[in-house]
Amino acid sequence: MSESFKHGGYSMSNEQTTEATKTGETAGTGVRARGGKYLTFALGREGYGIEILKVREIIGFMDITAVPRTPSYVRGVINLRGQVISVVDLRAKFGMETAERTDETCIIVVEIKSGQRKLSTGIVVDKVSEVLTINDDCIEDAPAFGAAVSTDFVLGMGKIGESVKILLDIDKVLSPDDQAQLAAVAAA
Amino acid sequence: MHANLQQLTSEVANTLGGTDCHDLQSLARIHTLLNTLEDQAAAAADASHQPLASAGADLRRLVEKIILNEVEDSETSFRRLQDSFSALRAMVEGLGSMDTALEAPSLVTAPAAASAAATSFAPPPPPPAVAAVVHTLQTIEPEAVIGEMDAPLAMEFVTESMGHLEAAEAALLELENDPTSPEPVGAVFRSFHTIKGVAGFLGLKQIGKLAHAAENLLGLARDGVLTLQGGTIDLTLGALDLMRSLVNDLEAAMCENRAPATDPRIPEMILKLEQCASGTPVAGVAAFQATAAAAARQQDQIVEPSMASTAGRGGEPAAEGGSARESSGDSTVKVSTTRLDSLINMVGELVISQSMVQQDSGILTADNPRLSRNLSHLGKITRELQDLSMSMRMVPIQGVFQKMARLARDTARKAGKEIEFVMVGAETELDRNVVEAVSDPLVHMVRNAVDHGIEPPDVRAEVGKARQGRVELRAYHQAGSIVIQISDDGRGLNLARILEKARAAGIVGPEQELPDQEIAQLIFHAGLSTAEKVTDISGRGVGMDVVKKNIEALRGRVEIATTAGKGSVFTIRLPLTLAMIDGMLVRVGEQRYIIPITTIEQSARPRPEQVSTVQGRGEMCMVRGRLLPVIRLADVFSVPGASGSVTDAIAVTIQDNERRACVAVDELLGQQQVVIKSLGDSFGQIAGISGGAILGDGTVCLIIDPPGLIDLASGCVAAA
Repeated sequence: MSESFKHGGYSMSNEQTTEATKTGETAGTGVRARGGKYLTFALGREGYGIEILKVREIIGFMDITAVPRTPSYVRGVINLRGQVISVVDLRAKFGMETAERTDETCIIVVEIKSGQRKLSTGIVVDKVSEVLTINDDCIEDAPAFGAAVSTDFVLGMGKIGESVKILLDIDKVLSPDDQAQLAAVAAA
Repeated sequence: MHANLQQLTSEVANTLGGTDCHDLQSLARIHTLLNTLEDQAAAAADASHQPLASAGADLRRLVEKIILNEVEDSETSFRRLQDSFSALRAMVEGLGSMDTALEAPSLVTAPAAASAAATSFAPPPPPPAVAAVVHTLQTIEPEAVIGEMDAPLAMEFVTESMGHLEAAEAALLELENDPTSPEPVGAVFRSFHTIKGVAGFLGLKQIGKLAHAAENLLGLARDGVLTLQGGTIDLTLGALDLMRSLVNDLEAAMCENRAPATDPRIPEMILKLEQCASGTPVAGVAAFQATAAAAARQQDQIVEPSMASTAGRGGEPAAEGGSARESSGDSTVKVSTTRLDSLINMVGELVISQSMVQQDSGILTADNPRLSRNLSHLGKITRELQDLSMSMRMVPIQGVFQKMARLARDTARKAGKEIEFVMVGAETELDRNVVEAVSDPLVHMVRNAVDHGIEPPDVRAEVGKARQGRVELRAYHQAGSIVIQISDDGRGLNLARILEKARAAGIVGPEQELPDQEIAQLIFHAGLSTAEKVTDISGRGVGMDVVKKNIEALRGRVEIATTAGKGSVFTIRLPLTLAMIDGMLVRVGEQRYIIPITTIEQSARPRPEQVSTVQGRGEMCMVRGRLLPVIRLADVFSVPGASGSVTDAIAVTIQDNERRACVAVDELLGQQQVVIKSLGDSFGQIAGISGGAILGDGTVCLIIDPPGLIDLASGCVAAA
């Protein structure tokens, strides 16, 4: 194992990532290899990460057209070069208080799987930080918080030096089934 | 054993029941079944089956005779066949009762009757041609699954063959008018030849053999040995239809990853083609004329309808038709629709960005002539690019028209009408999904025009019209929409009877008088057109409500003009594309919405005395003497910042069929043509919203779905 692992397993080297991913795959007994590159962003004081392969692009905040009769965390729709995509407010989704819009507020466009198809969705975040390579052995399962906090859509907790990034399974965060259910609840 | 026989006989009975002496496909099937029956009966150890075997053989020979048209009068023979078969079936049943050890007295007489009936018509030795059928049946082996390597080639083959078949069909129809013209014969020949070549390469035996047989026949026609007319054209068209169904099956087979099905109709079609082509050429022609004569007889002595399918404008159809075909030979590149759509999206975005740059305050105030010149140049290029990209989705309506020409021809033959079918403006272009969607309604309308609109030739002669009716299909652009007209010079709608029936059905009040135009529109009424009697009297209305629905689904309209005794004109108006919509941009609070123009009846600021409330809540507005519910968009869609009072708002009256409602909005921002984008991927169905549109400034605006909105509003009222 290389030097960088001892220092919190934080490395920007591609070579090691591949190695780590491999190890994860072979060792994994049904457990998904979680090591890899993550785009990290901030919501309030919390740091989050999304697998880089899920990210299509990052765009500045723009006017969002509200869509009626959708769950409150759905901000609406935007025009992404001719394609209409929905935008979800992650703060609202996670039950955090709404924040003032700043220059750093932006929309990360992610590509999520919805059944067979791929679907682009925007998520509003406070600030995009950087792309980090997090090795598999620096990722721990999310601790159980009991019923109060749902950890279903948390892939794991990435340890970067002293700080911790919450790695999101974005497919689960934005699963349309979930949205449909919430819409049904909201309508009732 | 017995169960098998019973199954066979019942299958024969079914086929026999649903056919007549001219349906060669069914006859071929009966032939095969009888053959099996004969074999099975002969193979039975029990001697009691022997009479059955010989009766089966006799019947089979009779079928052969009918197929080959060797009998004096095929109608009588066919009846004889049916009678004899009943006897045979009785034998089979009799054997069944024997099996269960019961007395079967009929057994002695029945086979004799069956055999006697059949033998009197059928001399024993089977003609060689039938042996050929049997031979071909055996030689066509089942197709193999298309290998992975060949799949792309096969897919290309499917699209290409469809094109070839379409071209061949058009050429055949042209040939029918002018049998001596060498060019169309060559075109048909080439089409089949190409299909044969590629099919051979891909190892598609069925298609290859059929194409080969057709090509042989057409080769003779091309060399002038044989003239394609009447029966031969029917035969070639039949082969073409069969080929098309084979190609379709091939496509389906590839999607499902199975082997293409073996079509039982092929051997018999090949045989017929070979028969046509075989023997001395002169005899071949004679055979054709005989077939044609027989075909005429089949149609109760009706003279063959002549068809003029012309792609040109009235006067010189042939020349124009020729040039149209040449122009379609322009070299093309196939591009997937997704790529095309994203290109169009991108161009749309480019237009938006370009206008944003041009209107940027920094640029407007900049005093730089070179910059402004370059910018206007950019604008010009952008606009041209946009026009070009929109035109890429457009295809000529020719394909659909071609289908209609064939349909009109077939319908006319079946109904015993003589018609001249004229097509004008086949080169008119419209969006490809509109072309696909307009085909179904047109089928109904063309069929109606030929079948019901045009009178039989004798009736026409009596009233002093030409025996040959004229059906015209015309397409042209007018004011941003495409107009398709189907006109006939037939009897026209019987307005008096339609009105009478509508009164009887309670659609029109007993005292109510209607202008002719509105009476004609009644045929689109679902309640009226389903009434069997009316369709008989009026001659129209078969599925006309469906036609109207289909066309309205395309945001189009259909109108009728009719003159008793002179004919009718059906006019369909469709938007050029389904991707765009004319909308009214409205503001509600801080949100903007688009209401489709076609659903708006009027917009006005209501006076206080027009508005009344029910139980202090439900608001109603009196518009032109009608009390309509008021839908506050701001409430239904929870939009903040909207004005509180209805009298400060503008009431837009929307309608959905018979339902109407007033939508309260804050401001009308203007009329605009917008491109419709689906929200479906992210949200599924949202009540009251049909989609999104991108406005000139690049923001997304939601398009209101009036029927959905009315549902939603009434649902809310009910819930409250």
